Amino acid sequence: MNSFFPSLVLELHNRCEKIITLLEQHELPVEIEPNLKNTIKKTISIKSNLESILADPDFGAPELLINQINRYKRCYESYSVIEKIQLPILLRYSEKDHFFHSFLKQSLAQINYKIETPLISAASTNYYEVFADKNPVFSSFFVPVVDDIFLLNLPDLFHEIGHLIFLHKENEMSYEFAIKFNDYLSSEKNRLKIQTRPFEPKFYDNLEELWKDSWVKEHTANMIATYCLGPSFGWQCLRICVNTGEDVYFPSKIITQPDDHPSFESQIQGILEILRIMGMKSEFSTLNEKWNQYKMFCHFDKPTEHDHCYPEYLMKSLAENVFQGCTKIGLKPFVSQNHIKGLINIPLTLDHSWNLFHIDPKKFLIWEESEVKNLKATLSKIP
Amino acid sequence: MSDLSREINDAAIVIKKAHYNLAGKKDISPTQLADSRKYLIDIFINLVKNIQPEIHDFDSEIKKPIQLPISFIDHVKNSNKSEMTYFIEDLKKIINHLKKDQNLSLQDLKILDKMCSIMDEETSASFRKFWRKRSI
Repeated sequence: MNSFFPSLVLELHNRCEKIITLLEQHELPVEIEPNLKNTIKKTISIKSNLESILADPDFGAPELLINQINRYKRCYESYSVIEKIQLPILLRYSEKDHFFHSFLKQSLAQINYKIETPLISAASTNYYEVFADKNPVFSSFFVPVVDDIFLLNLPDLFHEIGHLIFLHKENEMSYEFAIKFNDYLSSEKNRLKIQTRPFEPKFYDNLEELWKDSWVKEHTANMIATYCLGPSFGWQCLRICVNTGEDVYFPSKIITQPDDHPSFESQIQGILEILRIMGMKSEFSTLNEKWNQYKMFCHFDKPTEHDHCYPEYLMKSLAENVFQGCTKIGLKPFVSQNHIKGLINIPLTLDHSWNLFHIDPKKFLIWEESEVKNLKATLSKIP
Repeated sequence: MSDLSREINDAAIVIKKAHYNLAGKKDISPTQLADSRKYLIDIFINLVKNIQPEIHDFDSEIKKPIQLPISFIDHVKNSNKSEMTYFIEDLKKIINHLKKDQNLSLQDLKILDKMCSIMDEETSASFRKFWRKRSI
């Protein structure tokens, strides 16, 4: 390891150097200059860290070797995020990326989330996703390559925006819920000690890990998207559920079937709860009715564990927390959106798309084509 | 987790350089050494509190709890399951040695290295998990 390790450090340092040169010489539109500058800055910082490892008079000292290897690994991890995420976007920035950059910028402005626009790439092989970073310009969104010519999927971009907001404002979004969730776990674990229950203690350990690791983020991202877009996000969620053919109660037997996403049943209930809090009674009823019909037609059986994984009072508590959090940080709710002449209001356009789709799907397809052109033309005029 | 891992590791490097009297010791300022010591004391105190909340020896010193990752705490617990009482005693000893600016014992250094390794393993694991998630 004594000679192999210094070579690794040297090689990674060389990569950083080459990438910095590549990025500095690469011509990019002015709109993503902050993102480019930040990536260069981050790469320079990794390079400096590697230089400090190399320049350490104790470099390779047996007493410190393990710590120096750890330092190198952290440098490699930071580097690999740049190589795998930021570089492909920056070096292959396309017309489609440019469109989505404008779309994302406008969306963030219209929901009143004031941050510098993150990177966005229309070359996802994994549907909609976000690499969320505390620093917005170092965050990156990925969207499907054809979604610049369709409208119905676009609410999912707001789910990813929700993930970014959660990362920046976790306390505002879930602090009160986290207290209630911990109380729930403690009381369930205590009940296990004094009375016979159908579950093993491990069930609640897994549940805790799943909620804290991913479910609270997924539910919060859904709820933020619903707060910003209203029912169109719920319809898109229902569509994904139908398209994937997933059992709406999966996962709930979590010991044998772990999954990163909470069950569609709980997701829809979370979305409905936000609609209810926002006072959208008729939208709540329509979505709820369609959801119940879908469950009935497909004959899904609700396992006993489901209500223990997603207790109704906790879902309501999270929805209340997210609603208050969104209000506190000044996000503009769907119910306050209004059209401004000459501008396209994205939340209202997405809502209109889904309404038209329900009323007359064939007419919607014709309208969608012209609306996409209109959207592109309008966004292209915005600096 | 990555930042925490980096900070613990960097503090350990400073402490070990000073302890082993390595060439780089001359570049460490007294403030840097004191800060590293203080940082590790805080980490170890929070670790003790997370493993055994009923221990109140250091309650007055916890000004602002450091959020240690659950996976790190679980890993530490599992690694020392059979000898938890001794492990807690060892943690208390290293805290006191760091506080009093005393020489660290071999056992102290063993624990320091072990904590850095566990933190490193957990950070690497979460990093691998991050890429796995993205490739679904």
